[in-house]
Amino acid sequence: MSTLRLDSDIRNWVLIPITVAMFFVGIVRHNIGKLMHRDRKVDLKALREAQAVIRAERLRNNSGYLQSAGFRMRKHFFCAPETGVFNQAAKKANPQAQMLSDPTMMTSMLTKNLNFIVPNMLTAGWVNFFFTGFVVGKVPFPLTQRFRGMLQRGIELQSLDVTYISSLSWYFLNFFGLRGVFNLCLGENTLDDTQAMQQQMAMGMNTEKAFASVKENLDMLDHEFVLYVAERRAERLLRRLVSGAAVGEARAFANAEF
Amino acid sequence: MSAQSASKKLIVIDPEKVANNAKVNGVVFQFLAIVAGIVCGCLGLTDLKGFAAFVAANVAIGGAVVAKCGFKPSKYFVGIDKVIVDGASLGFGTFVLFWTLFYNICHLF
Repeated sequence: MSTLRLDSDIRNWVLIPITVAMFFVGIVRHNIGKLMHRDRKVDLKALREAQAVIRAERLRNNSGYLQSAGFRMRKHFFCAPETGVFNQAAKKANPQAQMLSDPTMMTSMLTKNLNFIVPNMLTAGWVNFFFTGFVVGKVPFPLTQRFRGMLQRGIELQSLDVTYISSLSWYFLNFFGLRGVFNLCLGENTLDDTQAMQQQMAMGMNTEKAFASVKENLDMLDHEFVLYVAERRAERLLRRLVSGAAVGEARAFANAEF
Repeated sequence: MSAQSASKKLIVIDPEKVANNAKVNGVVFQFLAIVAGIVCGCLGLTDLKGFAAFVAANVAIGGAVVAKCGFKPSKYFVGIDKVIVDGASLGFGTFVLFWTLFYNICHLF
């Protein structure tokens, strides 16, 4: 079947404008999101507790680099029965965390979701309103007949090739495709620590439970000093250097064991 | 002096660096998806030829990334298949969009 010839005005006035409009809407939405997040207050106590949890996790992951004495000291700081960090603060902050988790955090999560949904719905409505009833383009790959209802909304020809799409399907193509472009242009969505904490709080993380689980993990950890090999390597290196070898050769000899 | 004589291989992985590498890798493959989409659309490749071109381009750029790692991708990434598969899945939607757009611009005018 020969390909349809379509009016080039459709290209100028439909395909490209929709893409450009969606791109700019995405950028505006991203900047508005950033502006709205800036004036969010940070709760010092909740932040401190969340940071303590993160620090304990980091201690658990990197305990191999610490000597036994150092690890025991840190463990005592966190887990001691009376004075340890994890046994104290939970009581104080718990009612506060619960109060906070309802009004403030809920509204912030809601606004973030809204900020994403509303522009997309508006754009979809705009596309649907202005550009219905005609073929907008052709996708270069074959599709089955099941996609006809989805891709050709508003075009009532049953015999038209499924690869010819309507404007709404072009909107969806743009929606999925421009995510990659936004990743390139706007950078990754790097949340700083405060936002990450507050997101965690909003997910219903109960401070007490988090403290209990981290404390248990630290208690159960069997500490093993991993860097003993450093001493042996240093010995080999120095021995070679003292006997007159060049630095690179000595280093290669020292590394050769590992 | 320590008495252990076992020569255990120490594998030290810094998760921040791994994440950064994965991010850079993603950027490379997304850029590739845009360029590949434009090229496929302008050349008028359809159906399987277009997808084959996308796969070939991804493999080629994957090879370039591995070459940049000094042919030891395990030093920089979690695994070599992750390098290509993650990159390809990130770029697929973008590729389809630009492929369709430029195919329409160049061949349905």
